[in-house]
Amino acid sequence: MTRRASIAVASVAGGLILAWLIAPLVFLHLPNDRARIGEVVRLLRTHPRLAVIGNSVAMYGVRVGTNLATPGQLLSESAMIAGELRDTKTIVLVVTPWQLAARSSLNAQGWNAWWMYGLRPSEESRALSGMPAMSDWRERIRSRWIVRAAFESLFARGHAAAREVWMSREAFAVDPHQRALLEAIAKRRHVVVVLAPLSPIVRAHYPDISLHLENAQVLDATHLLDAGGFRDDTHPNDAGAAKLTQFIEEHL
Amino acid sequence: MLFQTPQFLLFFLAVVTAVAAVRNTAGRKTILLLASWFFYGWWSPLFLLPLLITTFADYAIGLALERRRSRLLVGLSVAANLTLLGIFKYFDFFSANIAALLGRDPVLLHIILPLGISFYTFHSISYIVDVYRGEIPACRSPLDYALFIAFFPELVAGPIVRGKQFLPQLERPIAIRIDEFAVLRITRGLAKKVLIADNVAVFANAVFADPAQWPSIVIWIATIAFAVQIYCDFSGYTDMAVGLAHVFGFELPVNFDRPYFARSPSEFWRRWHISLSSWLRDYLYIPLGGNRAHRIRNLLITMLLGGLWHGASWNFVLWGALHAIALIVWRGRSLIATQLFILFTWIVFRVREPHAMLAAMRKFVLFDFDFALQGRGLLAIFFFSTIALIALFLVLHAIRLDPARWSTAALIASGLAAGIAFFFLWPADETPFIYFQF
Repeated sequence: MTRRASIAVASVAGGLILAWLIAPLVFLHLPNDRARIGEVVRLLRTHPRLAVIGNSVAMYGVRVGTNLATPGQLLSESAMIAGELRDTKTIVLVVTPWQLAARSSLNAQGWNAWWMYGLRPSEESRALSGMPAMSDWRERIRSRWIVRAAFESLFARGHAAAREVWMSREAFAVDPHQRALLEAIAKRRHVVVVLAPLSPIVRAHYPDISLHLENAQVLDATHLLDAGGFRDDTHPNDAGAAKLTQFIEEHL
Repeated sequence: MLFQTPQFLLFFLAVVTAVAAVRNTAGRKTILLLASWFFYGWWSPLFLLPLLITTFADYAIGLALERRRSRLLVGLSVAANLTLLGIFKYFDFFSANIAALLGRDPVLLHIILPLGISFYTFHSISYIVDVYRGEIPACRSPLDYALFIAFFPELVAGPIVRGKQFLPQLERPIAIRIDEFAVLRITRGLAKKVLIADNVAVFANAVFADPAQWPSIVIWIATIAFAVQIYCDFSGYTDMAVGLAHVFGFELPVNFDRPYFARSPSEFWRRWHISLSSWLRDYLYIPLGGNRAHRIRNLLITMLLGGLWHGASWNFVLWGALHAIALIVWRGRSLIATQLFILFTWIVFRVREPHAMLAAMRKFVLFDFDFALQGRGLLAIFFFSTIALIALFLVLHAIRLDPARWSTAALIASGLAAGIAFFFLWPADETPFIYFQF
């Protein structure tokens, strides 16, 4: 191999190694729509006595205890968080009908975000949530998705896509796997499951929603708010959040 | 075994080591041939069957042709090659279309198309014709001939190498040359493929999956993205093939010359997939009469068959027909008009389903001035980073970088930057080269 060829190969290899080394820093400092996970991982370490988990409905709608909800949080992620809340007395898990109706699993990118933000769940939590086997050297490589996601998010501010995730249903029924997951969470921790408030437009799609769990208290807030309590089809506004928070506090 | 995979890196290092360990040229050729067959058989050992039939049949016919120049033998070889290609690549297509015309159930073979069959079939035909024309002597060594047909860097997606370009190189000793040229070509090709082509493909694929739902501006950007994708994918492969072949001391022909700077369709074909366009010119267009007689007919036949060479689908035939018409009627030289035409034809090339193709063509031509892009899910398919990558490509396409003249410091800085870019922009999923399917 000639000298300049060696230099070229070594430089490219050096760039790859350098990138691998700085990948965690890059991940933590680039903005992206999963950045909330970083905040949740930090809050998890504060060992809260009362914690709220769930998706963005819980994130924006509940102001009690320590809020560990993240946008689009799946039940499997909620299970993982609940598994890590070993010192927590009560967990409030806010669920939406579309979370209950269909089984969903977190993709590799989603698990990678939890890992890169520093969560190292116990074996029990991993088993409960279905988290795949992960290793630091590999997750650093996988974390490169953040670069394109961050670039897109630069242009995304104020341009959120209309997400009508709640519309894709025909007849409501709790998926057996989702039910089993909820019961598995409740078996390990004291959990209060809250059926999230539904706006009239969403409620019309779920006239028959109900949930009964063997070992967990279920609070039905689906009819708690009228149209004035929402800022869009699914998320409570400030007034709605205050009413939902009060509703939960009264039942704890 | 794709060039951009760790398996290929291991394979390549093993081949280089083995070739370097053997002292005599025959041994080195044998290793290269066995490695090439292994590389090809990696996809499916069954693929080796048509390759071996083509190789040994045409080797024997080449020797026979040298003893006696016979049109019958040439015809036999060409017919056999095209029959093999036809069975594997076109039988189901023509059977389905004829059956549809007759209103009957088609007889379908459902054979998996062996990779690169269109390329090595053309290698072989050009060799036989060149021997018949007396332009090259018949290859006496079965080892040399088999290596010419199967040489792994260019076996599955070209460039289409002719016997007169490759066989004389087998007469000199094979030497390992891992020099700056090889390293830079391979790196450049890899960068084109994984940094640009595979990343802009996410957007183009998402849009062209259902073009009817998108406004004109998105169709335009997706069309440009596909133009960038197919160029970077194919020329990236070629760059890697040239660099890999160079390591073993072989020079492969030039296949691209900045085609998006062409100022007429005929100039485009002198810059795009040069080894195919020159092959079609020398072995089809000129024998048909070229410009001397029936030029329009000759152009139509050449471009229709050139289109069909890309795949057994009507969209490729239409793509060839559009280029044929342009070559016939186009007058004058205009960069913008030419590139607009090329972009339009890429829609035909990319979208096979007729309704989707028409929807995309309509939105491309009849601009709808719908700029309401919010809430359409564009961020999820990397709209903005695709635009950034297209812009990066256009800058790199416009300037001619010559790393051979760079100082050592500049070389190190660019290498580091390339390594960092590879790490952060390498797509999570492996994407085969587009031209592998042809």
